[in-house]
This record gives sequence, structure tokens and C-alpha cells, in this order.
Amino acid sequence: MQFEFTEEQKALRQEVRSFIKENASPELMEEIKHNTGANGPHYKAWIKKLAEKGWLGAGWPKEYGGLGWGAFEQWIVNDELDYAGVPGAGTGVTMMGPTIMRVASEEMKKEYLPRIISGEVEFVLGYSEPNAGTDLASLKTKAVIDGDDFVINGQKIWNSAAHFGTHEWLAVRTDPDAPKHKGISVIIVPMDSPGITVRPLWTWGDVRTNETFFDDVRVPRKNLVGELNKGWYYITAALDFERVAIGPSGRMRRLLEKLVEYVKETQYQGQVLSKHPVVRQHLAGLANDLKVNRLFSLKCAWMVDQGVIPNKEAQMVKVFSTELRTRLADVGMQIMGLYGQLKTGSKWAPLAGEIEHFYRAAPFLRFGGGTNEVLRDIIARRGLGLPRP
Amino acid sequence: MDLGFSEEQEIMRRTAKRFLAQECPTSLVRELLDSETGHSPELWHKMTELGWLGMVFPEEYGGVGGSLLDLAVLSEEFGKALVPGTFYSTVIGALAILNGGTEAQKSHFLPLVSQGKALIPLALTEPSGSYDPAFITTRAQSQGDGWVIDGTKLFVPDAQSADYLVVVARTSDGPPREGVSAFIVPTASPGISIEPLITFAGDRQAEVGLKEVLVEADAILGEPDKVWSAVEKTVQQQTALQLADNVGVGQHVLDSTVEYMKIRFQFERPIGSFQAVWHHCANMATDIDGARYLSYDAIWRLSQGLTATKALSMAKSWGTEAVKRVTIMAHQLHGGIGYVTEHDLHLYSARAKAAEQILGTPAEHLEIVAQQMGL
Repeated sequence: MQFEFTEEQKALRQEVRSFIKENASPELMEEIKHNTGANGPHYKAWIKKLAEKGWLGAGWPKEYGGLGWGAFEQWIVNDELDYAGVPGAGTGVTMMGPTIMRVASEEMKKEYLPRIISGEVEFVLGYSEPNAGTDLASLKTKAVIDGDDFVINGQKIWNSAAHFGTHEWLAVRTDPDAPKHKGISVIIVPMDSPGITVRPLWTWGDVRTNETFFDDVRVPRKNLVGELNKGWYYITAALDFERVAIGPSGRMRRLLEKLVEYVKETQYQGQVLSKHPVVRQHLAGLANDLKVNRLFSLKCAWMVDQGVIPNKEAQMVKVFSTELRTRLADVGMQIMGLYGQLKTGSKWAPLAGEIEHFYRAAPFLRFGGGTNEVLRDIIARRGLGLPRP
Repeated sequence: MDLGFSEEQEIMRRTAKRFLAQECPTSLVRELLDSETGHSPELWHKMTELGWLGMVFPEEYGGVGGSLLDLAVLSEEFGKALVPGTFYSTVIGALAILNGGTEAQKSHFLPLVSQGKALIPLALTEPSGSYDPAFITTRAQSQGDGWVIDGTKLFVPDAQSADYLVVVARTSDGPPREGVSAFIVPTASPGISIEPLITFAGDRQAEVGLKEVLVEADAILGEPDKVWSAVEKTVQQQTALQLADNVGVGQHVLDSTVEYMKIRFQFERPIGSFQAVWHHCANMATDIDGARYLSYDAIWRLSQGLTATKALSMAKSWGTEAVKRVTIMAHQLHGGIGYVTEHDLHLYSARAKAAEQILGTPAEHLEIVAQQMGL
């Protein structure tokens, strides 16, 4: 048993911190704040630098251009990037790349893997539809074979990276007559293909997502990932990767630090907030929760390093961390009282409105990446062996 | 970073499970709850044969030379089996001697404890209800070669079965952490009165009155006025073991609840097939894992000799609340059958709640965490 990182791992953390300090410009931070900046020049330059350092796909096997790093090293890099609020590896690196490595043809691996790890290809997750969210298997976007091509018609929603991504990772129905889980395929669709329309949807958290329409979009048949009608298995396998990736709590750690500074400097009813007993209890409680989150996340990394696939542990960390986000922002705003209402840009907004914004942004991950009801179902059924009805 | 146990610890765990299933079934636990002292000499003797009482004492004092983490692994199994508290109370008193005693005291008393020949609980808390040395009113005055002790100790574990008590008393005035001493006092000494308290969890605690209790010069633990940091370390070790015990309590309740959910049928199906039950169990599993990792992080740190103050308080505040929550939800899920005293569940619920009440409540520990955070 050992709850400390090795000297090398601690040195890596310092190296990442220095790198961020040197390379994350104020212009980058400004561009990111608005989420629309994801296709901005500073974002692109930053991703390029990360890729040049090798950290973008650090966990990938060396044969595919990665550094072959273990789970803890990747965890450390992700934690520091999250803490600093700078972009890290997207779903292409964490989900699609590993899926391609496992199931795609050699030709597809050669075509996409190097460009994913260099940041050149940025994937857009094309799963959900207006009538297919949690019940994803009921999706209806169709792909029909026509000569050497697929022709795709349909609509996706919550297509969040569609306004800056380069390729859709599209879940489509390729066999309408088969049982619903058995007629789904995954096809890679370049975003510049004719027939694709992207329409913005703005959310309460100020984050942009999109509806994307596919009207007779043609892609070559070689864009099929793996085998026809086997898409459902690729999708579900990739989801476990995604849930482990949602674990790191670096950003929340930073927010708590800022709250601690805030309460030490801010007066309320004649004394600094940090001396009010209720404030002390609340912030200590959040520190506890953050530590639990961190330990759950480290447990997943430890399991991965042992060659064990985290199952109930991945769901647990996702459920716990996503619900903690609301608690943290809620407590923070309450401590700020009247001032807690003020948005970024307002005179008097505490911490530049960051806590208030976090509160509005927080609900998203309770349903994004798999809604927490389903994840609790999985903990119970797969993790504890409780029976189906 | 390694969140697993060593091979030796896993072997010890398996041995403990087998032994306890055989030698400490709940029938014995219930018998002891109803008995006068709550102590089983037979079980005690068998545990000494396994070296458990001397687990954390150096070999030179008749112990096994194991680490606190090793003992915590055992403690988790004790929690699962509801092992009576005389084990902990005597190991803690002996740890106070190990932490603060002279060579002569260690060489004399620790082997006695390892061999199961003496029970030596720590008598620290008083009517003030606090663990803070500022509120110790029991006093010891030097008299001739020895000392005279006067005062009252309250919530002393297993005083009724004790051969000696390690009594913490103030010997000089001054800053709270200075001027505190401890004395190894035979319970048969004139002037000592022991009155049992009645606790809801059935663990034995007592009020100990000390009226002009005379002890010899060699009864003082180490040097006069300087024992507080040894006592503080002992309380941390006690906390660490209680955390591990409590993880065991919680794990057992989770596992047995999940099993019951699979076999209890209503509406022609196991109640474990209802989504609400899935979610309750998922939350319980999350609570136990959180308690587990917070606790072992703190235990590991203390076992390694690293500073563990913040980690212990984090585990004690979050972890004990989490295990308590699990026991109450277990009652909800079991329904009536888990509520009758014939069923073992209430024994676990009580033990889990007791863990929250002693060694500082969650709110007190949150305040310690707040201080450690620099607030």
C-alpha cells in the first residue's frame, strides 16, 4: 500500500506545471472562456504544443505514436491541465483513437491515428438524436449502401464539437430490420462533406452545443469503423473509457483554493468569512468530498495499470464527481451571499463570476456521458450483481 | 501509488476471517453483550496465540513487530465480526505505554499485554466530554517518592475488566499541552471506584473515581509533565484502528444487504430487481468505498510515520458519517425483518453510530480539517 506518487511522478507534475505556465497565454485563456473559441488560433497553437511534447496521446502505445505511459502519468497530466483550466486531449485521443486501435482496419489506423495524436483530426461525437438519448440504441439516422459509398440521412443533437471538429464519429442505422442493437454501425464522416448543416444550441452553462443535419451525405465505404452492424459494441466499450476520463478533479481543486482565499480576505458582519463556523464546516466538507473524488479516480488509474478494467469504479467516479460539482458551486455561491449572484463582467462579481458560472455549467455532466440513473443501475447490476427485473 | 495490500496482509486477513467465523460468531457476541464484563477469556487466549495482541509491539517487548497498517487490516475483519472492544481498549492502553513509557515500563507491561495476562485501558476523557488537554481536571501531586491522584475519568473503556489503567492527569499548570502526565495505576488500588455506564451499543465504559489514589514513583509514564504528545499519538492510533474497524462494519452491512436484496421476493421478483433498490445499493457502495480509501490513506500515513492529522480528521468526519448512512439505509431496505433484535443488523448499526460519537464527532473533525486548510 502506498498513497504517494514516486519522485519521478512528482517531477512530472512539476514539469507539466512549468509547461503550462510558459505556454498558456492570457490570449489562450480569453479565447477558451467563450467555448466558441475552440477553433480559434490560440487553441490550435496550444494543442500543437501539447502534441509536440507528446502529452496529447501520452497513454497511446508507442507503435501508434504515443509515449506508452501508464495510467498514473496520464492522470497527473490530465489533473494539472484540468487544474489550470487549459484544454487537454479531446475524445479523439481518449475514445475514438483507442477504439480504432482495437477494431479498425490497418488502412484506417494509418489514416487517422497519427492525425489524432497530432491534433490535426478533432472528432465530433455523433450519437444522440432528439428521440435517442439514454435509449441510444433507438437511433434512426440511416446509412444506405450505394455503390462504393454510404449515403447518410438524419439528424444528431448535442453534437457539441460540430462547430470546430474535423470529423464526425457517427452512429448510424445500417440494418433497419435487425433488432435495434444489432443494426448499428459507426462511420467516420468528414465535416466538410456536402449535405451537413450545423445549427447552434446555447445552454444554461454558456456552453455551445449543436444540432447537425445530414442530407444525402456521401462517404466512401472505407470510412466504416470495424464491421458493419457491430457499432453498438464499439460504442459501449468506448463509454467506459470516457467515464474514467471524466474523473480528474483538478479544476474543482482550483476552485476550492480560490474559495479559501476568498473567505480569508472577505469580511462579513464584522469578521472575515473564514472565521464563521458554518463557512469552515462547509469548506472542510468540500475538501473531504474532493479527496474522495481524487481517491476514486486514482483507484481507476491503479486498476488500469494492473490490467483490470474499472467497471463499477468508473461509474462511481463519474457519478460522484459530477454531483460534487453542483455541491461545490452551490456552497460557494451561498458563502458569497448577495454577491454570489453576479456574473462575469459585472462590477463586484466575486472571483470574476467563476463560481456562479460553474453552478450553471455543473448540471450538464449529470446527464452528459451517460445519465447518473443509468450509471447507478450499472454499479448495482454489474458491480454488485443485483438482478434485472 | 498502490491501493492494494501486501501478500502477507491478505494471508493474515484470510486467517482472521476463518478464525473469527469459528471463534467469534454472533452468538458469542450476543452472549458477551449480555454478560457482566463483555470480555471472553477464551477468545482472548486464542487471540494471544495468534500474536494479535502484540501485533504492533516491537519483538523486544514480546510483540510481533507488525505495523499499524497490519493491525488495521485485522481491525477491519474485527468490525465485520463485531469483535468485543476489550481488544482495542487494551491495545490502546499498551500503545500509550509504548509511546510514552520508560524502558522498564515497556519491558514489564507490553509482554503482559501480548501474552494476554493484563488488560490496561487508557483513562483519558472526563466529565468535560473533551479530548482537549486544556480540560483535564484530574490532578496528580507529588507525595514523598510517589504521587497522589485525584479526579474523575468518564467514558473509560472496559475499566470493569481492567487490571491497570493508564490515567492521564495534570501535574503542573501552564499551557494546555504542557504539564500533563500519565500513570499506570492498578485498578485494585485503594481510592479507585469503578461504576459502569450503560451505552446504547453495549460496549463497556465506566466512570472511574480517583480519591487520593497513591501510586509509586515508577508508575509515572516516562517523565513528569511531558506525556501529552505520546497521548496524542496514542489517540491518533486509536482513531486509525477505529476507522478500519468501521470500514469492516460498513462493508459487512453492504454485502449482507445486497445478498438479502437478491433473495427477498415481493411482487414475484427479488426486491433487488427494482431500480430504487439498485440506486440505494449503488449509493451505499460508493459510501463504503469513500470511507475505505479515506481511512486507509490516513492509516497508511500514520503507519509510515508521516503527518496524518488532516487525513485522520478527513476520514473520521466523512467516513463515519458515510458508514452510518449505509446502516440506516440498510434498515430501510431490510424492512421489518432487519429491525428485530433477533437479526444482527442492529448490532452493526449501533457499532457504526458509536464510532461517530467517540474520538471527536464529525463536526469537530471538520473544524480540524478547516484549521489544517489554513482557514
